Amino acid sequence: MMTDVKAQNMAIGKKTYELNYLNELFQSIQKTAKIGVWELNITTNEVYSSDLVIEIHELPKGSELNLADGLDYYHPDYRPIIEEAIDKAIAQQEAYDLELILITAKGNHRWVRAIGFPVLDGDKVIALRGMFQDIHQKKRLEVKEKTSRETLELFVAHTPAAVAMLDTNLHYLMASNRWYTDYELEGQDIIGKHHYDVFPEIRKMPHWIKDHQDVLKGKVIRNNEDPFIREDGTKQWLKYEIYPWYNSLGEIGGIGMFTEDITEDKIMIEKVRKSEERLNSVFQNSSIGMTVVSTDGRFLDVNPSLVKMLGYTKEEFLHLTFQEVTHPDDLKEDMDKVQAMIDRKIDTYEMEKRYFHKEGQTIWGQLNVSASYNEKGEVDFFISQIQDITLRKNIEEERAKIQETLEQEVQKRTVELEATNKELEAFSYSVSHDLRAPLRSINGFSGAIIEDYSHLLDQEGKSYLNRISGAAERMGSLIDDLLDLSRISRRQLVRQELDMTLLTQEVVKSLNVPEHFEIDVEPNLKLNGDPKLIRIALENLLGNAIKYSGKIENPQIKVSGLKEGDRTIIQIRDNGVGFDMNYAAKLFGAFQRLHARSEYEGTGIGLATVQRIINLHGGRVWAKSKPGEGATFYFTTKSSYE
Amino acid sequence: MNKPILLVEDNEDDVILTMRALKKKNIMNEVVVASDGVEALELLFGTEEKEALVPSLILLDLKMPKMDGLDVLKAINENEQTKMLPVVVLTTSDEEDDMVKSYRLGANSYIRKPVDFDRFLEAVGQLGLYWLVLNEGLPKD
Repeated sequence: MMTDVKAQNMAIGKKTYELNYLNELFQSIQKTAKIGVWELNITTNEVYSSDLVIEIHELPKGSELNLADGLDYYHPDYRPIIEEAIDKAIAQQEAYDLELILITAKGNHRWVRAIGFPVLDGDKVIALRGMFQDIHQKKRLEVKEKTSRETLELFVAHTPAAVAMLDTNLHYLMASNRWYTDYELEGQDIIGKHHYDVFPEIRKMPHWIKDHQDVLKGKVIRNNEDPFIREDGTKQWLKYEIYPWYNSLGEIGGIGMFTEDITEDKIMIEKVRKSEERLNSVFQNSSIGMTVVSTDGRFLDVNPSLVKMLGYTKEEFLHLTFQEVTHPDDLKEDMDKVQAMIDRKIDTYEMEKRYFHKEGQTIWGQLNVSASYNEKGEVDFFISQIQDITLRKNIEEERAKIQETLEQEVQKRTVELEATNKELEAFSYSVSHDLRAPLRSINGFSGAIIEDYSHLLDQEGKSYLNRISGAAERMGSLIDDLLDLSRISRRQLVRQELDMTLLTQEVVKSLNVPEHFEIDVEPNLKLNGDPKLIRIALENLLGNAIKYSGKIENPQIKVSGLKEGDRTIIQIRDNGVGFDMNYAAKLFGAFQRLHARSEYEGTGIGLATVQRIINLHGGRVWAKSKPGEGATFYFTTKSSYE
Repeated sequence: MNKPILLVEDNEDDVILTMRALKKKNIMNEVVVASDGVEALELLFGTEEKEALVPSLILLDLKMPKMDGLDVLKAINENEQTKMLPVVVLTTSDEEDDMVKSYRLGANSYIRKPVDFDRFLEAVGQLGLYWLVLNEGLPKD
């Protein structure tokens, strides 16, 4: 019996040991997993709670919990949820798994996970058994994560750059606002959409598709300028970086894109490049010599025209200074101006200067200089344009020489002319004196014979003598008229306002006009001219008018004026024999006559004298007539161009 | 009527014609002829051998060899003795200049010798009448 008891005790002891062991194991699992267990007896409403359940409630160790107390610890917002779940578990045998907020005995809010399921006896629920877990830490992490994700999205959205994040399937996760504006996607919801659905044009760009695949394999791709041909054909220049992004497991989670629209920059750069190209082309092809010169005068660059102009090769030029190819007489002015440029007193200058050709000859250049400045505003280098004006200069020099020669020649001629004039004067004087003397003798002695010895001569002899004296007289008139003509040419013009009415009347009086003439002079006739010369002209013109109308029954002469602009045309009209206009050209030549001497007397010098007088005035004289219908002579004393 | 006329003329033809003209116009004064300016002045101012001539009228040609008429005129005008003598310039020249100069140098009249001798005769006659008859002339002293 004893043995049995002993054996039984031993067996109990062993079992107790095993049980304790199991209990400890269970406790340590609960602790480690932070999972408490509980059981509710429905009939008694007693609640078994493991230590961890008590601990989560922050109750003193060893405290007991009943159902009612247990429900009271839940946050009022969550109490109805757990009550309903328990009711359902009992009534409908449904398990529950809830995340709820507990207010602990110490008043702390704490997230818990409550799991409950019914225990059945047959088909009857006799108890609820469950687990209780502190999930506060995990919950807080979740919220934190959510918050940081929202922050990230916000951050990305407002990044002042076009940024987008795609998943491995190239579906949009995030994109910055700038992404929408740069690619004109405003108002569209692209999140979750495929990249190639948002930009169908990429399907036509296999190199980009390949890039995306490479990035998904870990490659990072950068491009500083890549054209993106948009659906509508426009070209958008992009600078971009696309890279894989990694999740917390270190796996590639998708593609990150950072792009920059550089189209405007690109256009600007292109413009600048083209303008530089143009400039360079001008530099290379200009017919004007162009060079870039350092501030100390070294040639930094020369164009082909300058090479041609001065004969040095480009290489030789680069070892020369402008000072070395400048004529010494022009160097100072050039250097002074360069200094003024360096001192920023002037911005440009130009001068005509002489250069030396490599072969030694002088080349005249029209130099125009401007400068390029550094960021401090100092002259960086000079830009000079040099035009070859040697030919022009030579012509100018030649012209100046000719001018000088001409002036000398003119002076010489003037002196000669003055001498000639003097000689002519002396000659005229001699002519008037000496030529006339023998005529006077001829005439005088002819007359003496006629008077004193006519009784010794017959009629024929007398007529011969008369012819001799007549001819001598005519020759005297000729000499007089010629002298008048030559004297007029030598005369200095003295212009004044003339009373032509008065002057004409005076001349008429001096001409001893026969009484049957009707002479009409317009009153208040004015003319600008030399009084003596105009008087001589009038004497000749009126003398002619009288002469050539002397044989008419009612001779009429009319002197009048005609205004033409600011000049006056004087008209002298007669009703005499007139002349044939075919001979009008001969009218004003010296010794030209339109009538036989037997008909009308005259030397043929009168109108030549008139013309000379009018020419001296810079005016014009002309005539209109018809045979038998009188003649009108016109003259002005002012050129129509004045 | 007893005072002579001094004719200063180098042209012999003109001397003959002038003398004839004077005669035709009944001017019977003695005519003393000087054939150039120097000779005329010698006559007027006198020389060691010869007394100065005081003519009633001087007929003076301008253009002459040696000393021309204007110079003679000037000398006559500058000399107190001869200054008051009537001088008629007779010339072939019709230079205005000569005429102005002549009057400025004290000429009393200026006659241009025309080619037409009748007119010359007329002119000489006129001036003879004027200077010798109408204009009584200067007293001898």
